[in-house]
Amino acid sequence: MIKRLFLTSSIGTPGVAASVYSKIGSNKPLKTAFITTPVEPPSEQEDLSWLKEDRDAMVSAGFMVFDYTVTGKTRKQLDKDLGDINVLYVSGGDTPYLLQQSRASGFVDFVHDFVNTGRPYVSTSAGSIITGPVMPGYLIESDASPRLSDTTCYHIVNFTVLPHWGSPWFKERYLNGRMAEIYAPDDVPYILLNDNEYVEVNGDWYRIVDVRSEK
Amino acid sequence: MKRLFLTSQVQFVAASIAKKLGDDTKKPGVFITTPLSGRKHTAEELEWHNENRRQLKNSGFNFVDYDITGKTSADIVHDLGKYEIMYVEGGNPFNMLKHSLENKFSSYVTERINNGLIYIGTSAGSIIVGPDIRTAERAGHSAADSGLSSTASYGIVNFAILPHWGNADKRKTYMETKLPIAYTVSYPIIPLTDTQYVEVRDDWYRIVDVTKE
Repeated sequence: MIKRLFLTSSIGTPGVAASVYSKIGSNKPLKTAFITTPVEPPSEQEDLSWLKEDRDAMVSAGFMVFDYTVTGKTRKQLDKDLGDINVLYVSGGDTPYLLQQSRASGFVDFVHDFVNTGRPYVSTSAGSIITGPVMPGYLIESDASPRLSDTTCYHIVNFTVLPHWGSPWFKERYLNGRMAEIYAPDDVPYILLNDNEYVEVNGDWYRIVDVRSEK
Repeated sequence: MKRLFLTSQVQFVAASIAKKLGDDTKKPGVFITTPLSGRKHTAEELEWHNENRRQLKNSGFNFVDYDITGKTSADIVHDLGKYEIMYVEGGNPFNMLKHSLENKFSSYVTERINNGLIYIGTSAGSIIVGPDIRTAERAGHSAADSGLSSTASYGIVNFAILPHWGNADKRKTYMETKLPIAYTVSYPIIPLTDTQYVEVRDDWYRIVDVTKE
């Protein structure tokens, strides 16, 4: 089956969830596991209003969402709990923590098997970054973030998304640190993605959709 | 089918593109030199350009040089109609855009690509098919320097590339000038190292890294 992914910077941005939903193109309700694992670390707890906005946007667009974490689960449990979902959504948050818990639970293999069935993988920020080949080192920002000796990600796509490009909130981090760190002639491909854009992946091909130009 | 290969520096990826094109590599091709034509270059400055030519030839491409500077719209249609592959060299994208708009080369190329012309670009030649060339600004290379009133470009693809990503000699320009500009634009951006290129088929694309092939 052809793999289908919708890698957003922020699915809560007006128009993004509806655009993704229409591209999935289902005329039946889409049972969607909303993976909240990336927001579990204490450093993420201060303000989770964006997570609510992301979830609300998905519900408004038509996704039938239920929250789920992979933390503490086994592959067998993942298969049992998520076997009948139509869409897998992975939220934003702490990428190193998500990667750590993905490995511990067998979620990495689960995601690969899931996308190989042709069912859509939808994500925001950390959930989009982690589908790339390797995690940028600059994402280990918090003392609470796990220090992973192996930063290999899911590697479903051959590029790494840099989400929230253009956002005032991230400007200092990108322009005074992150970009200098990834400026290398032998690095993986990057796609700089603002909050109105997402990468639609169809097999080995992709395109960047700007929802503002769809109106 | 729309088919483009947008490279950062074609000398490193020409063989990969030729392999993808197969027999189409042999089709009559034109090498647009205009991005280089704005000023005199020293032999040392043109080493990269000469190497691009060598590697394109070694990969099986057959190009005839053409400069759109000073040509009329009728000249463009008459002179370029027989070619099935177009390569646009690197150089100054602002000068290239200025000349493109004067003789409607931009409209001509857009229509030809939509009708099957295979397009290959290096650096400026890749930037120019995007929505806007503003991210290429640096000292001496700007819309104002070339007498342009706008940086809006061909818009054949919906993203801008940042070529030569990771090259040590471009780091300062990227960190101090290009990235701060790139952070303000509203279209997608793809940085490309010299061993990567974007392969476009109609509205879909993918980034190819020849070191991984």
